[in-house]
Amino acid sequence: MSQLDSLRAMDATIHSAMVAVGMGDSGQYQVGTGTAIPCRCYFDESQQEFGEDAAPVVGRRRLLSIFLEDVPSPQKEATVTIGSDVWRLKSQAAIDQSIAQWVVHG
Amino acid sequence: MADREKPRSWQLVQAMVACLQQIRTAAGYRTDAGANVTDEPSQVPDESNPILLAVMVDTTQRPTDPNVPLGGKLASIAILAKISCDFDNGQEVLHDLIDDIDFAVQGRAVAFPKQTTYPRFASSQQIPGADGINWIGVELRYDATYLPLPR
Repeated sequence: MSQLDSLRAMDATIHSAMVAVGMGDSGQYQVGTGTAIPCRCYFDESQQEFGEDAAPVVGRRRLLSIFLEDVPSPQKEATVTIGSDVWRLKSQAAIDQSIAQWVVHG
Repeated sequence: MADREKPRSWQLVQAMVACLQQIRTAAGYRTDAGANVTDEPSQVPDESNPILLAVMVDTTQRPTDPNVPLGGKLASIAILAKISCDFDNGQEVLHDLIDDIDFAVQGRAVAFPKQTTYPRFASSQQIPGADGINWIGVELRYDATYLPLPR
């Protein structure tokens, strides 16, 4: 078993355990109006500030971790639908052999 | 004692605010930035009014111009200009906003306080973007020399 397989197997095990306790998500990945592909993912949010000055704009940085086994190469501007939320991929924030993290907008 | 005049530095900020409040699409500008000009900058929620201009005197220093009377000050007025944008038009809307500010200030339609020079453009710098926030912005600097009020 290669390192890639081990890492993906481990992430799959963790994800199913997280889904079982309501902390993981399953979404539908779609490029434009193309075929929707089921994908495992995680959704995270944190505070973000724009401008280190006297009038910072405060908002949220939303990160979607997408399983590369389901979507081998996520594309900018593709969407992931989780329940009734549609998230649009804006920029890649991190990647390893198993998961890509993208900053998304609602 | 009669009411004293407000400090000239504050009058300078107020004049700059009045200048920027001219920026309305109804008056031929590209944006409606004049609708949301503040002299008291503070944290702004990203889903509030999608445009913001904040004016403040940042640094002051002794004027380099030898003709300025003793006690004169050279103030650097900072304008924080921020605008929300779509996925892929950030730079474009920022140019619109900067052009509006240039035009509003250069128009000289607002009277500035006595013993104050009309603000001159000094520099501008883009505010680095932040992941997840669809806003873009620039900090513009204008220089003006003023004499503090006599006692």
